[in-house]
Amino acid sequence: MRALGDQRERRPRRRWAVLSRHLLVCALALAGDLPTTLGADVQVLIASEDSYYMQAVASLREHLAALHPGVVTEVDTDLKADWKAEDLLVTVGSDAMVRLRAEHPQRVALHLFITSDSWLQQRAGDPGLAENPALVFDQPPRHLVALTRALLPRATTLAIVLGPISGKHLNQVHGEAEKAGFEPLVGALSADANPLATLSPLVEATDAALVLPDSADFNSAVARWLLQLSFRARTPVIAFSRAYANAGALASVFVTPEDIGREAAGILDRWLKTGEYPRGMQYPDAYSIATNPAVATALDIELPDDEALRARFEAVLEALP
Amino acid sequence: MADHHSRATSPGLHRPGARFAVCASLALAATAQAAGDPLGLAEADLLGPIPELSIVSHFPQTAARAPASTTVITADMIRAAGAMNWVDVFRLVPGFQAYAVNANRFGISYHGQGRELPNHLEVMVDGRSVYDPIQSTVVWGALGVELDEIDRIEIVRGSSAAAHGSNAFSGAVNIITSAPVQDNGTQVRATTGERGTRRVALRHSDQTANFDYRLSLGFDHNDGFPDYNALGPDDGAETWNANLRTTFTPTLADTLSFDAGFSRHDTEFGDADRLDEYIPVRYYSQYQRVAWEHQLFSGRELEITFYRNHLRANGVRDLGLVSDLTGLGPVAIPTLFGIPDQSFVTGFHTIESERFDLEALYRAQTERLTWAAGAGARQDAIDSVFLTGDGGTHDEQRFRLFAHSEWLPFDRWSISAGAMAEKTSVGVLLSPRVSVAYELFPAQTLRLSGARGRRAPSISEAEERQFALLGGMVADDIRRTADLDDERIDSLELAYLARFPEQGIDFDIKLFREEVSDGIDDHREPIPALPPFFDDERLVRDNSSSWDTTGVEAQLFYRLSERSWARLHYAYQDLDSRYINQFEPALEIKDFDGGTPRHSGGLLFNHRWSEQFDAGFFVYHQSGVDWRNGNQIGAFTRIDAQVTWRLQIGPSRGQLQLVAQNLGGDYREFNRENRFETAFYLRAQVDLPD
Repeated sequence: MRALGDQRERRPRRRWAVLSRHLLVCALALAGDLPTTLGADVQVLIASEDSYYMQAVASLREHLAALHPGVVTEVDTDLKADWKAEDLLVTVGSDAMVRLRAEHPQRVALHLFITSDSWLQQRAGDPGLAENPALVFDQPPRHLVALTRALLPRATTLAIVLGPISGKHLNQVHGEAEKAGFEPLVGALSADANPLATLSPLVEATDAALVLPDSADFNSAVARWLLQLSFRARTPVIAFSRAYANAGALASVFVTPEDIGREAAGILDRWLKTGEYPRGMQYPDAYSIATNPAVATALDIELPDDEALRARFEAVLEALP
Repeated sequence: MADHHSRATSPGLHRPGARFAVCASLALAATAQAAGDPLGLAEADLLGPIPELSIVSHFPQTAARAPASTTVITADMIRAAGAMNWVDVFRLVPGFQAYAVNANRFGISYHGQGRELPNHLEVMVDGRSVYDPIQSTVVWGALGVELDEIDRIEIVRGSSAAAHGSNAFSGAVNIITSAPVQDNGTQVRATTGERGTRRVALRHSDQTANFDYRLSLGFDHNDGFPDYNALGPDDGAETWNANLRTTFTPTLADTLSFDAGFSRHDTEFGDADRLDEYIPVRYYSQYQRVAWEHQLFSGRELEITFYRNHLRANGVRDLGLVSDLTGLGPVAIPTLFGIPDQSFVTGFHTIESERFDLEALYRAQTERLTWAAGAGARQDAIDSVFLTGDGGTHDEQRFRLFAHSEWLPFDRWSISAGAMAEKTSVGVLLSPRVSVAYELFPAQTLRLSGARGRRAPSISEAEERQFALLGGMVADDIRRTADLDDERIDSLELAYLARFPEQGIDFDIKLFREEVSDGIDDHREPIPALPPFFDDERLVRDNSSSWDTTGVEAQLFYRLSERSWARLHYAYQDLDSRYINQFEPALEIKDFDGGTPRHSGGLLFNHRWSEQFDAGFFVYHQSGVDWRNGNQIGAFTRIDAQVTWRLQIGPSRGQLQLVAQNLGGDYREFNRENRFETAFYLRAQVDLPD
C-alpha cells in the first residue's frame, strides 16, 4: 500500500542537512545532554484511509509542525521495516494498534483514535500495552451525565440505554448518574430484544434518556427507535455524536478528529523534547458539544447559548464528586 | 479545554417531528466498519453522516449529492401555507403544475403539459405506488390520505425512471405519513368553511405489548365551485377513509410493518367543455402493504415490500330517452335503429384496477461508496367494458432490476450513477441516470446530471378501445389505440446548491433541458358515422407528440430568526412542442406550447409570535396557461394567510387555525368555471390525554 506522507516532507533529505543533524547529535552527546528522542522521526501507522483518520492525521501534522518545527512525520497504512529504533511510533485507529502490537510488542507507541473499549480488550491479552500512551476517541460516561445535568437541572430520573458492548460501563454510568442526582433506570438491549417494547416504557418513565456508544449496527438500530419514542414521550436524549444531535437528540458531547490530532501533537511534542510520555489510556481534554435547537423548542427546553452551556457543563463536571 | 460548540441545523427539515422521522434512516447511514471487529466498539461506531432523503437513489443521501433536484415539503410547511388540498401543497414545489380540474379532481404534473389526466408523475404513499393503471394517473381524491397525517413529502424534480420505473417519467413523489411511533394518544380534528366544507378526523396511536399502531378515520365534504353548481354539474365531493399503520420490532435488527386502508369517494367526473355530460362517480379504494426490514451487518440492510392496491369506480348518468335526445319521437327509434326507445346512459359504468407489487431492496455502505440494488415484480390488471370494449380482465406483468450508487472518489467530488431495466409490454426498457457533483467551496456544490427515462404505456393506454353502446349496438366509436411504443425523455441539468446553516440559508438553482420524443397523445381519425347523430371521428392514441422544455428553477429557504422563516421558489419554463392532430384528410400538426405556465413561483413566510401564536402567508403567482383538456386561463396571483393559536384545555392540548385563501379578487384555474373566491376556513385540533 502506498505511503501517505506529505510529498514536501517525504522528499529525500539533502545530504548536508543529514550531515549537520548528525554533527549536532554528536556534539550534544559529547556534552552529555542528549535526549533519547533527538533525531527521531514520527512514524504514523493508520488503520485505513478513511476520512476521519486522515483528518486526525492532518491535525496532528499541523499542530506538531507548529510545536516542533522540522520534525519529520511519515504516514503509512502498512508497517515499515525501515523504521529506526529512535523513531516515535503513532497508531491511528484500533486496527493499526492491533497490527503494531502484533509485530512489535516491545515498542512503545502512542495509540490514537481508538475507543476505550478497544484499548481495554487489547490490553486484556497484551499486558505490555499498559506502558504505552493512548488517547481514546470516546467520551467518559461522566461527560454524558454532566451534559444531561447541565441542560436539565430539574430532571430527576434518567434512562440509560446500553447495548452488548456499552453494558460493560453499567456500574460506572450508574454511579455517575447517582452522583449527579439522577435516579437511573437502565434499559439493556441485546440483539434479540424488542426495541419498542424495551425503550417505550423506559423513556416514558424518565425525564431524560442517555445513550452510550456501542457497535455501529447497534447504535443505528437503537437511534432509529430511541429518537422517535423519546420525542413521542417528550423525553430529551443526550448522546455521543454529532450525528445523533443532527438526527434528533437534544445534545451530544463528543471529540472530533481535529481535537484528537491536536492533543496528540502535544503529547508527541513533550515526548520529543523530554523523552517522557504518559502511560496508559486517557480521555482527551478537548470536547465538542452539539445541540439541536429545533428539538429543544419542540420539547419546551430552554437551550442556553454556547458559552453559557459550556460554562454550566464545566461547572457540573467540577461539582461532581 | 472545551473549544467547540455547534448547533445542528437541517434547513430542509424544520419540523422537529420530521427530524425524528429522518432518524429512521440513520440506521442506514452509520459507517459500520466495526461490526465483526474483535475489539467491539470502534471509531466508526461513534461517527455517522446525516441522511437527508431516500427517494432519489433508494438510500439516504444529501440533496447536494443526489443525482437529481429535490424538494422536501414538511408538515410544518403544509400547515404554514394553509393548504386545504393537494393542489395547495404542490404549489410549493418549483416547476410543478398543480391545478383543480374541478373542485375535487386535481391535476399534479411536472413540466411538459398540464392536462386533465397527467400521466408522467409517479406518486407513492409510504413507498407504495398509487399511480392507477386504469386512469393512467393518480386519483387524488381516492388516496385516503389526509394532509394532517403527512410527515413530509419527498419530491424528485426530474425524470426518476432510473429509480422508480416508467411512471416516474418526469418526476417522482413519495408522501410519507406519520409512523405509529411518532405520536401517542387520540387526536380529533374538525374543519369548517367555504363551499360547504365540513371535515372531521380522528387519529389514535398506541402500543400493545408487541406492536405500535396508528389508526385514522376521516370524513370530508364540500359542495364544489359555485359556478359549476349554477350551471348544472355538482363538482362537490364526499369522502370517507380509514387507515391503519402498524410497526412490530421482534428484534433489534428486524422491523415488520403492516398498513391497510380504505376510502370511499363520491364526486362528479367530466369535461370542462361539456358540463352537461358530467357523471356522478363513486370510487372505492383499498390497499394492504407488508414490509420487512432487516438490518444485516456493517450497515447493510435488506428490505422486502409487498402491497396490493384495488380501485373500483362506478360512474353513469342517464341522459334521458333516445327519442327525446334525438327529437325523433318514440316510434321512430325502433324503426330507424332496430332497438326499443330507451334511456341513453352515459359514463364509464364500472371500472376496476388491481395491482400486486413485490420488491426486494439491498443497501450497503462503505466509507466512499454507498449503493442499493433491487428487483421487483408487478402485476396490473384492469377490468372495464367501457375502456376495453370487452368484458374481460386485461393484465400485465412487469419486472424490474435496478441499482444505484454514490461514489466519493476524491475529496469534494461525488459521482452518482444508477439505472433501471424494466421488462414491459413494449420490451425491456433501460433508464439510466448519472451525475457528477463538485464541492466548489464548503457547503456549495455544483452538480451536472443527465438522465434518460423510458416509459411504457399503462395497460389502459395500450389496450383502450372505447365504444358507446346503445341496446347492445355501437352508437359511437370513441377511441382506438395504435401499436404503441415507449415514450422517451432525455434530460440534462446543471445545478448549484448552497447550504449555510449558520445563516439559516438553504438554496439551490438549476438550469435544465428536457427532450421528450415518441410522446403518447391523441389524434383524430375520421370514421363512417353510425348512426349519423353521433361523431364522425374517433380518437387514436399513438406516439405522435414530442416536446422540449428549457428552463430555470430555484428554491430558497431562509431562517430569518429563531421565530421567522421564509421560503421562496420560482420556475421558468419554455415549452416547445408539437403533436399530430390528424393525419386525414390532411396532416395537421399543432402544439401545446402554452400548456404550462412560463413563470410560476411563490413566497411562504411564517412567524411565531409566541409559543401560542404563529401566523404566515403564502403568495403564489402563475402566468397564463392554455390548459389541454381545459381552457385558456390568464395569469393570477393568489394570497393565502393563516393564524394558528395553540392552547391548553385542561390536560389536553389544542390548536385553532384560521385559514384565509385567495385574499383579493377572484381568479380562475384550468376551467373557466373553476372560479376561486376568497375563502375562509376554521380548523380545530385537540390532542386528548392518554
